[in-house]
Amino acid sequence: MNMKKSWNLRFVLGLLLSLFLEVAAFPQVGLTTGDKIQAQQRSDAGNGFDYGNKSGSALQQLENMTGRQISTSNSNGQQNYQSVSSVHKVSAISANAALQNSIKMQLASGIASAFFSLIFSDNSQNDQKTIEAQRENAALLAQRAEAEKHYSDSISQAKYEKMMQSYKLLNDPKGVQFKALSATSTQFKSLDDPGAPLTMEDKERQNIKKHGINITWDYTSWNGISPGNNSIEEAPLSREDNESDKFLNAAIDKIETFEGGRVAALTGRFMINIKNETMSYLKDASEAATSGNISKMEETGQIDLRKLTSNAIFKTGQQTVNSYIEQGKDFISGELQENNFAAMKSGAQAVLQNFNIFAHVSDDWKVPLKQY
Amino acid sequence: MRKAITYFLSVFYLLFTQSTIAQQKNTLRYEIMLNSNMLEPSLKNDRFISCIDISPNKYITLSTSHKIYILGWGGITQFGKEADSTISSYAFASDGLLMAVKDRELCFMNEKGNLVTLVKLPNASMGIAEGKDVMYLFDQKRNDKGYKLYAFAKGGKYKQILVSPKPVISVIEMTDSLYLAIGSGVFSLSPKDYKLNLVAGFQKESEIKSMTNDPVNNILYVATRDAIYAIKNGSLVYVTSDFGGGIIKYFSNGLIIFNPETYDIIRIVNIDKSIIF
Repeated sequence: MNMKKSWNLRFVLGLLLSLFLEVAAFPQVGLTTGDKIQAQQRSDAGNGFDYGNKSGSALQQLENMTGRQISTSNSNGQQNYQSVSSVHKVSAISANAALQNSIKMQLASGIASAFFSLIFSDNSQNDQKTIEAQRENAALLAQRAEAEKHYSDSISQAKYEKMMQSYKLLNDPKGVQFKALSATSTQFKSLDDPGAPLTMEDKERQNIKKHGINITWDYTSWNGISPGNNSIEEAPLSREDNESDKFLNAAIDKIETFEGGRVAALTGRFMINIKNETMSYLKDASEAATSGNISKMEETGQIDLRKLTSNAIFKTGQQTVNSYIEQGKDFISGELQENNFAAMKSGAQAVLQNFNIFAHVSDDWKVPLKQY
Repeated sequence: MRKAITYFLSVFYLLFTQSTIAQQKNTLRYEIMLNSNMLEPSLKNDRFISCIDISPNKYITLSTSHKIYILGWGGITQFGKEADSTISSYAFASDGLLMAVKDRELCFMNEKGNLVTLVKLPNASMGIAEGKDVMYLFDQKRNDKGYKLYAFAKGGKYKQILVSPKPVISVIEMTDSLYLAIGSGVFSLSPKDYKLNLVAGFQKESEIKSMTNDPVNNILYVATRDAIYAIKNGSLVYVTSDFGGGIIKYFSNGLIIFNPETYDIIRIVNIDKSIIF
């Protein structure tokens, strides 16, 4: 009974320790395993933590576990690495998970074994030699883990590269291609699917068009097409300029004096700020805009830095699009000679019918005195 | 227990997926719709005109001098029949009708794909732009009488809105004002009092090529030959010059940039969320 309790206690302690050490050890030493090691581990697992091992050193236990003769001389990392790598062979990416699980077990059981040997062995056996052997044991495991990490990293890198091959990068000239275009049917798509339900924005747009603020004309003063003459007649030439005409003439004359060299937006912005003022301001504005006096211009045309940021966003996208266009030209000239945009033969009538654009149009626009 | 774990994992997966998709939806991204080598050589015989629009079925609409095309993901095809004279511009009306200026005529495309004359215009090669209730027609070709902007309404009503000393390049309705690009300046016109304001002035060399607007966020985009700018509440932000300027069109939450010379069409999606005013 006591023996059973002792086994249970050891098992629980071993499990907890394994879990703890696993978390602590993985980031430092990685994982390791190997077919031979697994086989040995499986055979050792049947023995459990055999008390018989107490009579041997930890080094012997390790040798039993790994099936290898371990040199107690000052071994270098390269030799150990080679010995491990000769055991370890990773043949496929899918084996990675199995390998990791296996090494978890190995690492945990190896360290736990050494730990329990230390706890349950006689004090007489807890000598310098044992400590040294355990240190070597840990070093060997760490080296194996390092080797395993190397393989694990290689697998991860291979996975990453494979994944990246499935992406098309914006700056990769071979990554983006234009879709081939059909010239053999009228089944090309409109900008937006006409059959799709309206988005909130579309609804708002239509609502504004129907009910929003709009120009309203007073038709009472308008001319009508005279009987027998379906022409729009010009107004008499003798008409004197009204205030709007005078303003238009003066403003256009003034704008005509704007010479190049200034930023157009700045000029425009400057002009906007005086739009409701009298013509005398127009002179000052034009002089400021053409003088190159930035501080004078900034008095009315403050540049908002946020706009520069906004424009930078555009700039980035535009460069990409320009690149696409160039790529498309090259690509299409080489690949799509027989399958590009084309005007269809006899397509005109088919489109009228297929798209039903001109079903029946109101006669409202027609001139009343002449039938077509 | 197993069911509970499965349920929990499913919910977690769905939440994670949804969050990822939502993040992608709001991310600035670029869509390349077209470049020159995607086009057959036969399509390059005629140059595309400097005009772009989006059809009611959400296809990019392009045009050469005689043929209109629609472009989607995966193809481009001719749209309607070949015109018998030169198309200078086109735009879809708010009710989906394709209107085109063909030589000196304002036309619409009927259900057979023909461009049918609606009215005769004062000048040839006029530009056209969509309004909520009207279509805007404006002079782009030099003449001695100034460059005029007209509004054409249903039922044959029209009005001359203003006369400009320089060609009108682009017209955009946004909120309660009309925005005009003339030379290198952007002006706003209020139909209530016909008051004209200068919104932005660029250098003489930076003549405006096109404008478009984001109606939800009230952002006006302006393209010069070399760069694109955004204007909101009187604040102007430089957006990009990497694709040049050219012809721009806002659609959904993306800005389409079209260079007719190089056939490049790029869409910057979620641009509105990326600009800080």
